[in-house]
Amino acid sequence: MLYLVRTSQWSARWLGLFLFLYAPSVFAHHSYAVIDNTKVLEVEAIIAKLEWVNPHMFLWAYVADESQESGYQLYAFEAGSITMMTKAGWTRDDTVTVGEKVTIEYLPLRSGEPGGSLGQMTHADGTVTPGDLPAVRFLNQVRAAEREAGQ
Amino acid sequence: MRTCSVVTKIIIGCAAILLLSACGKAATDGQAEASTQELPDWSGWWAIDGPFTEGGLRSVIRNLDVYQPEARRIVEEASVPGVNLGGGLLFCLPTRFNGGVNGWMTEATEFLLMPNRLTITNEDGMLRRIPLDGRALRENPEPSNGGTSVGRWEGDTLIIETIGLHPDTTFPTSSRPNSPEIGENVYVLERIYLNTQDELVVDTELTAPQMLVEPIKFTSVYHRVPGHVYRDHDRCSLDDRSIDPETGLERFDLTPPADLPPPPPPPS
Repeated sequence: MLYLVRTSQWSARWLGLFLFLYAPSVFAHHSYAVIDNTKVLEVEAIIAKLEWVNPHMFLWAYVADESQESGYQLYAFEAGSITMMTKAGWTRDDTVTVGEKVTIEYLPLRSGEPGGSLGQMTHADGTVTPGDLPAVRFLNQVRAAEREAGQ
Repeated sequence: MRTCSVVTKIIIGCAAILLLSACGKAATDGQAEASTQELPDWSGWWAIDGPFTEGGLRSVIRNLDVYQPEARRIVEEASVPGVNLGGGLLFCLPTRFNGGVNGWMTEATEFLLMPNRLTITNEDGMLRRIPLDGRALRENPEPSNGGTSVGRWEGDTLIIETIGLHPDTTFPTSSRPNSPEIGENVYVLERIYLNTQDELVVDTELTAPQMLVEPIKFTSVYHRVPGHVYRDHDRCSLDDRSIDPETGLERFDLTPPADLPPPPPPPS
């Protein structure tokens, strides 16, 4: 997969430091008690709305689901604060557009409801937008464990 | 003879006035020049590297032996994966200085240096006012969000002493629930200087006898962020889908936004 992270120089610096030295209980805004951070799920989604707010922005997206009358299930994906996501390369107006098709990898809710913590988002052109740093870290841990198990 | 004497007096008087005027201007210019020349360039926005690196705050407190028993118990309790202890509304307290770093990785920081005053502020709303006019540190001040500080120059290094912090301020992140409180009689000694890499270095010694077994020392290193655009950073839970405003417990609010567009036509 083409892996071009949409990020700034500053965000790359932060990301590297964070992933190298992160300790989850003291850095996250909260403990992610409702998130299953041992599992990564992936969906093809159509962007519905980006809530650009503190302390956590939320990305809403429609995912095809034949069981729903509309043909879609609405998903919610949590990301970080405005300052944190800006450091990660996000902008309010340009990172996603309503109606855009993306692939989202996320840490699911323990409740099984449609949504979770946004790990990363792959756009149609192959570029990748990272999620909030704790979610990115958990995603990388899960993927590393999967690679190890596959060897 | 009399006329000559009067003229002489006038000339002498004018000369004196001109001399005094020139001296005054020179003195004023000299003062302004000294004020600006003596201040290092701490302008612009700064982002911290220090807490993560060796000798930074986070590396120092990774050793839980630094904590008093009750503080350590709180740290360990909150470190259990998936624990939901509540307290999320604490995020809505004003941002406070807790003796740790000035601004965290979530927000950039400004060190606004003037001849007799340093103001440290960040995108999280922290505000520290540090007089540099030679006054003494006020004894037993009432607690305040930024603490009571004084600063003095030792060469190119600014020495800041701070007391008067709210004892219930949490550590290492202020206004973060389920964290140790710094307690009474906190004393913070900071030494701030520019290093040869144009980084702003803050060497801190934190004394917090109710939270720490003994004072800890750590170094925070800030790098400039040219062109940084200010944005509010806000931890308050009142509009947070992640925190229940009634209980302070963590949640995940799936109530769709009122202005959510309808789904696209069903996929074929």
